[in-house]
Amino acid sequence: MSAARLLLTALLALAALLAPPAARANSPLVADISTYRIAIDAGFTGVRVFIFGARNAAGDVVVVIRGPEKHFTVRKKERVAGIWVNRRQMDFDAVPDFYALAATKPLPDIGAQKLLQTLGIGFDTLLPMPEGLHEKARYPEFTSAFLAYQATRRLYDDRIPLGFMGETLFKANIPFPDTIPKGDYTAEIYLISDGELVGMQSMPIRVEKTGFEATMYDFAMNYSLFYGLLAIAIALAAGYGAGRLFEKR
Amino acid sequence: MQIYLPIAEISVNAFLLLALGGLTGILAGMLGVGGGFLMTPLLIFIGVSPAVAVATSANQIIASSVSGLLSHVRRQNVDFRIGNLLLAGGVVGSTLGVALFRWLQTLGQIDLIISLSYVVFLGLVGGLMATDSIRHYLGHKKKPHAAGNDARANWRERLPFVMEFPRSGLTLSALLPLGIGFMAGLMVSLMGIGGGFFLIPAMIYGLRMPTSVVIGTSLYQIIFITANVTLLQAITTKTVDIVLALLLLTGSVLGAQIGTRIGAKLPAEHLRALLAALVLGVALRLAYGLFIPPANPYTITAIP
Repeated sequence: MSAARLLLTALLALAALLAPPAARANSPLVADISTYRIAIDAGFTGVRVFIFGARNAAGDVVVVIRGPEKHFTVRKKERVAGIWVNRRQMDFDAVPDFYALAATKPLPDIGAQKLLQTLGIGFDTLLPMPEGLHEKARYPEFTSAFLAYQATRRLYDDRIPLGFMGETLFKANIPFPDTIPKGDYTAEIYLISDGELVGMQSMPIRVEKTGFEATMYDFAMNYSLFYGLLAIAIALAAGYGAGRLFEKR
Repeated sequence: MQIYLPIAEISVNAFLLLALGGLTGILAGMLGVGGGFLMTPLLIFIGVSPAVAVATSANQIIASSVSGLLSHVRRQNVDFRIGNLLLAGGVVGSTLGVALFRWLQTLGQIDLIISLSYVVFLGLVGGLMATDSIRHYLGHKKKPHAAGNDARANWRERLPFVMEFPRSGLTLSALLPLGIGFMAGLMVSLMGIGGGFFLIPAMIYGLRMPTSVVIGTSLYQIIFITANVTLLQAITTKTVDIVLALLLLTGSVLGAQIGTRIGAKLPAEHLRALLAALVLGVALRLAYGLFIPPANPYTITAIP
């Protein structure tokens, strides 16, 4: 998250808090999500989250869901003496591992390039060129390789449809696949008119493991010695049990 | 039936995992190889991360090896005396191997060194076994080691610490199994598989143990090595997925019983030929990966 974007978000949140209730009722943008918490259990195969709201002013609506940020290393194999070897690499810091975008029209048609850049809307704003990069010419191929990778994992999608009921009410149906990383997400809804930000709302979504999955995960992370011993014990018992079972036949 | 794996953090089909386990179990019981060389790439293929795939395969191999070992013990096809010496060498070898691995890692290109050593080593072993098998099937009654046998026999006999190994019908220096165990341990750390690939040919060609005893003895030592790997992975990388392992080993313990039965019915020559074909197949597959342009030259890794 860039410093400028962080500041802007904070200011908007503050403005929303300070505004009198009457003004809030008439605010240009009102939205909510169907859930603030996604629970991953043994049967988890992905889930859909509804985002819905109303715009009380003209403009384009953009919905962005951002997942937890990670450091990514992209490596490229090249041929050396006939053998394919990892030769080049590029590092990208603080990139969201999940990014879903729904908008009233394609981003270039909204025509607020500078604003979109500041707000971090669109894939091309997620991977700023690393500082001190020697091979600037290779930047495009590495970023597109990264975007393609995230798309095949179903974690990046910028073509989610945004539906309208009349001129005011909108909704989007955001898919969260089974591959989603756990952590803190944000759902951001923007209203943009004539290159200006007219309204904005931000809500947290928490993705966490529950029940047996959470217990096993915590056990593995916090009591790793006992977890390892348990894993070995289970394997030994299963092997012995099967051996004995077949022996009696 | 889809099930979510707590450590791998993906949802997979439970029946597919059972089938995967069964397949490697049959191989383990039949040929004495752990099956990690097959299981790991298959898990990666269905979307499990390489780290979780490697660590969980090791955990799963314990179960199929125990299951397979029990049948071999019943048939008295295990030479515990040689097995313990192999194990002692293996513990030292794998400890040194981990250090060597870290050193290679700091030099970079560890992946390349692993792939290259697989290709060279498996290619040599597989080629040697395949020529032997072909010679046998063509009806050459000549013993496989006739050439140069005298010089080697002299060298072997001059080694100290000579021991009797009644189960295998051998009298040889304790240094030989210790050395082979050491080499196997080194390779387990460097290549990340059970080590049956190295042990079985080394026991057949190096120690000249009877093929029937070799498989059980290999399984015996693999149990300890993979248990050690599982524990180290659980503590350091935290990538052992018990739910995934449980599904795989349910399939593999049953598969191992079937495999042992098939193995008992097949003549030793057929088993050797099968193992040779398998070793050569994996070597060729890895060589293919090294020389053929990859479909996607980019690999991406994430750090939270």
